Amino acid sequence: MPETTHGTQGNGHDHRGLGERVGQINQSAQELWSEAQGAVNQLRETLDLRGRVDRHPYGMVLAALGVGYLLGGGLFSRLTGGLLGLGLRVAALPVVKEELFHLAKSALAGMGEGAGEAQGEPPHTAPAEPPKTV
Amino acid sequence: METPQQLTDKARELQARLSPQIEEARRNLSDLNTRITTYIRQNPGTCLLAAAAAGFLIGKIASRRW
Repeated sequence: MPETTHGTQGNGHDHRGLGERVGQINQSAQELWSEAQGAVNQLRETLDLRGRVDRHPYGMVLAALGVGYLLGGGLFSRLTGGLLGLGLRVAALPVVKEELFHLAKSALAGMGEGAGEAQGEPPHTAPAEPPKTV
Repeated sequence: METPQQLTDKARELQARLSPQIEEARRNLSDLNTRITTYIRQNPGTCLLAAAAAGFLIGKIASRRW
């Protein structure tokens, strides 16, 4: 009989222990959930997606498109190479234009000088040094 | 041979004929822009997810070996 009594007490103790454990797990889960919610809220506030979309709607959509493109594995593709090449060419266009403009300007100046020389004007050269006497 | 006066008249006539159409097209484009930005502002999550999905698809197609 003592065994039975012990057994009953042991079962009751186990039940109580199990209930406490379930309660602890429940509490831990609730804490975890609230912490996760807090982290998500903090991340949302940090990113401020809504505010950014309000300020730059097209920019954010393009950024999302770019992120999706990268995630889709389009970084090392021919399309990216072509787009990069096009972007570089467009970026280099003003520099090339300016260089060509300077080139044309100097060529026109050279042509003007050549025409002046042909008409008998003295060439614009440095005056000759006088002969050295020893 | 048309005189300069006739050419000017023609240009004026052309401008008078085209200017309402250009103005209407400008108004339509402006209206479309307003509607699109309003929609994006009202549904930011949907729009961003759709754009990311579209970009993902484009990236997948672009990275495919032909």
